[in-house]
Amino acid sequence: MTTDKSGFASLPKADAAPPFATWLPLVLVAVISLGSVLAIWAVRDDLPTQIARHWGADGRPDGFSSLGSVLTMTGLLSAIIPVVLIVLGRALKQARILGAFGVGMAGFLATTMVVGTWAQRGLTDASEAKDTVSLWIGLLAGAVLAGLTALVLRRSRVAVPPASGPLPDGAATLDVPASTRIAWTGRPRVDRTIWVFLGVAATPLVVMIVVFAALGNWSLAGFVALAFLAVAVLVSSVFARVSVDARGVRAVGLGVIPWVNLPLDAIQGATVVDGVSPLGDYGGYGLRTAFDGESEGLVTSEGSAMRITRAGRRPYLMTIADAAGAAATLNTLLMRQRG
Amino acid sequence: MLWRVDPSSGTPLFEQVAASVRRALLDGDLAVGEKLPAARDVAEALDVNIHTVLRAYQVLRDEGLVELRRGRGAVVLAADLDRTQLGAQVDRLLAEAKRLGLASTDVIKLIEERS
Repeated sequence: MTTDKSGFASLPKADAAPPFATWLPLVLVAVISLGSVLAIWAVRDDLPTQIARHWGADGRPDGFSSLGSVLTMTGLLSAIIPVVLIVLGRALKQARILGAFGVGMAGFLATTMVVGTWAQRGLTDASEAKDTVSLWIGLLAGAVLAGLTALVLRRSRVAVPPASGPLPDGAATLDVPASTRIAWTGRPRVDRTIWVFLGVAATPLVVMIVVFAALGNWSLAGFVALAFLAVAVLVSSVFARVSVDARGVRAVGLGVIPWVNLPLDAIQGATVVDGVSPLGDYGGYGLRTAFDGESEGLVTSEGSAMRITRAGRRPYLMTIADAAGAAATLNTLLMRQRG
Repeated sequence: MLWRVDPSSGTPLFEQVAASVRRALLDGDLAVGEKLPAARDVAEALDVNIHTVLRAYQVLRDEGLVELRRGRGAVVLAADLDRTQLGAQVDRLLAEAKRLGLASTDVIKLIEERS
């Protein structure tokens, strides 16, 4: 951690996002929002007087508005939440992640509303308006925009030289001969509370899928099912296999997803810390950044964690079983590398 | 769990890999029903041949410590290795040393000479 001239602690070099990381997403959201309004304005002559703007669970329209209202709503709704997310990202010291996510959300909302409105061109009675594809096209647009924004923002990360110097205070090592090759494998500890959260989150999603399918609205059922799948994949990060070896620290989920990948030369050292609280300090379970922005990690359980300090980046914590063994292995490998 | 192989030691590598698993069972770092990492992952982590690890897993299977399931990999079957047998041998060693008038520090020196 470094302190800037004002005396307040600031983020390590490579974590601090430049103002560009907030301005760019905000500008993009403005462009998307304006673009969506123009896209509807351009086809205004072909639209019914009362435009369908909301569809019920059975796929039939149940909310209608005039052109003016639709334009206003589209412009505002596609921007408000994304802007809040982007500003929140800056406040929570996660500007890049929430910036990209905000742009993706704006793209999703705008595209969904535009496509849903365009589908009503040529109709005189909007109650005939059908909408099965707008959510999917919106999702595609949102994902692409989020991905592209993330790529651009990633390049704003400052490169740091490899870690060097002594291990941090309290860093233990293994008592093994230099000729012995060592590695550590294990898993994160999983708090039972996670299952409770899962149940709470999964139940409404499953109910929605069943209800939409029963009503014959397969498009919406499929959409929620996809959301459910995405959540399931994210949650699976809690069950990743963690390894510490000469390549560095990795956590791989479902055999192929690299949730954590810290190369050895980016690591300063590792210690064991106690009293980690996923909910209290990180706002949840899984891959998280701390509320105070001063650390990040794979936090899955209350209690002890391996705390990895890195060159130019904030510390990375992992609530694994046998954190001491993992840390000692890591420190031994680091000492060998530094000679 | 910790994996240790020393290529400069006289013990075959696959036996050292198996010993790492047995040590983890002794220390309680592995529980019954737990899945060992894929042989490929262990091989990459230790920079040894994958067949070395596969042979280690087969040795452990033959000892009844793990079960090799198709598609699942190596699953711990028995974790009832414990130190009591080793402890009993140490007791016998110390008893014999005492009979010869040796102190435990002499025994330790003997062990170190032979390690």
